Formats: sequence, structure tokens, C-alpha cells
Amino acid sequence: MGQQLGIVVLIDIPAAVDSNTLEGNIWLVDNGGWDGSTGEGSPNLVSALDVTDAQMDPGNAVLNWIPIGIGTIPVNVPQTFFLNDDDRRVLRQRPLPALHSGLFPVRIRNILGDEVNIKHPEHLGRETPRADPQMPLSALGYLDPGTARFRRTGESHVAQPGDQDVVYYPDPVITRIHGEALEAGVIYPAQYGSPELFSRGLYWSASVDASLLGLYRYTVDIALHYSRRNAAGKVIDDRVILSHDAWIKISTGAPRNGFSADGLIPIPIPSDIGAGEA
Amino acid sequence: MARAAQSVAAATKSKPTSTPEPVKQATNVMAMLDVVGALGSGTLGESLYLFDNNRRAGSTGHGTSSLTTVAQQGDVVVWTTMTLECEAFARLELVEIDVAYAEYVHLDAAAFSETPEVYWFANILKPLPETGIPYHLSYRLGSAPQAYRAPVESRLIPASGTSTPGEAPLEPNQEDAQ
Repeated sequence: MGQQLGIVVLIDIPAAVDSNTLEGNIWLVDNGGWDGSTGEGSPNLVSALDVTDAQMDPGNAVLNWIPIGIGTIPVNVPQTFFLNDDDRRVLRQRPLPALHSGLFPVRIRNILGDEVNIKHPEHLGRETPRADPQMPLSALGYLDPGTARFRRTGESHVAQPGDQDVVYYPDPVITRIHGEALEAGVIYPAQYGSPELFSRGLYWSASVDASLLGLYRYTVDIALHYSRRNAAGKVIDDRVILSHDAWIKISTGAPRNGFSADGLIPIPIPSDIGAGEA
Repeated sequence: MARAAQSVAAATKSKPTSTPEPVKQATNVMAMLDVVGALGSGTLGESLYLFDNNRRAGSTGHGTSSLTTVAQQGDVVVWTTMTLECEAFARLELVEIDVAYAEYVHLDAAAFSETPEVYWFANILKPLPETGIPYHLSYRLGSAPQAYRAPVESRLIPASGTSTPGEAPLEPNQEDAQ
């Protein structure tokens, strides 16, 4: 099996925009700890890749970068959470009444055994979605303290709790990956499409040349978007692009042998494999 | 003059309200879990990374399994969970706070509406004691039958220098007396 190494980039966006630097405001974590990655949970991540199996089956090792703003809604929350009320209502509708108008669905229900008054079917299919009292912080309420609402200006001078001068886009956006690892031809990053809307439907991934062993540096350029009310009272969208360095360490070790009792031993490769190809 | 009087009137008028005070600030404590690593090693020790978005107010311990979060009266602290591999199951099972601190926080759990994703939250009811409130996080991981408890405690602390001089020093003593 090849490796899918996920590199999660966590950023305190307001702090990074305010200080105009990622230093002290960025942390990286990957899932290669078992393979020797170091610096997880710190700004200085060295992602370790054991490419022994990738050398046997080239193109197997893949890196994925996942930028996340601290404080954003977790990525595992399904996209249906972000639907507005109208969409939710449509989704709650029974499929038959949605597709067929008039008495048809009511007749179907009669056929199916429901005793429905066909002459007065008005009471059917009118259920309004109920707000769930068990979820005090759900949906809109969840964002309440940070609601993206600007301080009122002009003549009123009224400020409400939660009003703010700057509104930050919840997630960072990777704009480019460059540096030594690319110049050496070690990784081939590219932006790919995905149905995940909060990264604008895009994510960065790279394949790794398993023949180039060593420690390589790469640089990630990250755009942080925000809106700010300027001196004239006008709301302006802006962004800063900040860069951060990380490392990738490519090595070959012994393929793990599940039967070994004492540490790692190399799996013996039969000599007739090489002979057969020649 | 008239304008000043107006604003004073407005200020006094707006203060006594029967509605509960609005949340001052939501601080998000985000856990990044290496579920495979935790299941493999049998412990959360090296597989739990905690972050919050209140570092500017003095929170510390980001990227470790022991986070110290600054929270003030009226704030809400929300604990959310993410995993390194989105396919892996993880759910915050428990935010364990000693009952001695019950008067400081209102602790509850909920789910993002119409999803199975659980979050926990604590409303901060009064200024926190100087020593802070220690808590332990426990997670359900994969299909493991037992919950995984963070080996190190995390903490909610008051902002430095903002606690009221009359009350705050008393509270830890009261705790000790009990």
C-alpha cells in the first residue's frame, strides 16, 4: 500500500493578520508520527516518508495539505449543516408531494392503506421544521459572538455586542507551494478540485519522487482573507499572503514484517524476480 | 450638554435588562486527534493536539495535549474535535471538571444541528479562580470499547490582571476550605 500523508496546517487567522506574520501563529501536524515525522504540533514540521514500497510501485507516496483556521467549524461537519432554511425545508419534504401536485400523492397514500380524506387534504404535507431546543448553540447561534457584522457608522454611533471592525474569512487558502523540494524535483504539488466548499472547492496535493532520498525544504504560501471598514466607512475585502517553511524527509527503511518478534528485519526478496526481468 | 446627558441616560437605560447577558466571546478549543496513532499506542499521550483561538489574550500550550485557555465571565468555551484522517471516528465523550468548580461554569454538550458531530461548551458564570479550573478530556475513538482519557490536564484560567481584586483571591481559599 502506498502512503497518503496528510499535513494539517492550523492558523490563528486574526492573530496572523494583525501581526502580519505566521510566526507564532501557525502549527503543523501530520499523520506520519509512526514513520518518524518530528515537530508535530509545532511550526517546524519534518514529515517523514518511508518510500521503500513506493520504490517498488512508483507514484504511491502522496502528500495532502489541509489548511484550517483555528475556531472554524470542524471539517467533519457535513455540508448539510450550512444549508439555509429554505433548502432544509425542501429536503424535509416527502418525495411524492414534491414531485406530484394535486391529489395524486394523497391517492397513493390511500392505495397504500392510509385513511386520508381526499376531499380535504389540506392538512397534509404542511409540517414546518421545528427548531430543536436541545441545540442552543447550533447553526446561527453557534457563530453568535463572532457574527460577521460591522460596527455601525455614520450618525447613529450605536454599537452592539458582537459588532466588529474586521471580519475574517474562516479558513486559510494555500496559493502556492514552492522551494527547494520542487527545484530538486522531489515533490510535484498541484491544486485539485474537490466538492469541499470551504476551501473554495480546491485542495493541494503532491506526488513524491521516491528515488530522491534526503531532507528537503519547501515553502507554503498562504492567503488569509478578511474584510475591514476603512477610514471612509467603506467595507473593503483584502488579504495577506504569508509564507511558511516546512520539511520533508524521504528515506528507505525495512519493509515492516509482521512476523518478526524482535524489531525490524528486511523481508527477503527472491532473487529470481530480478533474473526474470533481465 | 444635552448630548452628554442623552448618552448617560442611554447608558443607564440599557443596563438593567431582564434578558440574559449576551455571550461576550466564544473561544474555540479545537482538538486535532491522530486516531490511528492513539489506537495503535493505546494512549492519547502523543496523539492529541489542542489549539484555541484566544492566544492573543494569553492562552498557552498550543500544539500540545495540555492547553491553558484564557476565559472570562460571560464567555463561552466551545470544544470541537477534528481528526487527521477524516475517515476515522472520534467524538468528545467527556469534559471532566471537578464538582468543586461547579459554580464557575455551566457545562453542556450538543451536536451541530442535524449532524452527528458533537461539541461541548461551558458558559463562564463568574470570574475564574487565579489557579484556573483544571479539566480532563476523554474521547471515543474508532470502535474501541473504552474511552481514551487525556493523560495530562488542561486548564481554563482568568486573563492576567483583570480579575476583580475583592473577589478573586477569596475564591481559591473557599475551595480549600471545602
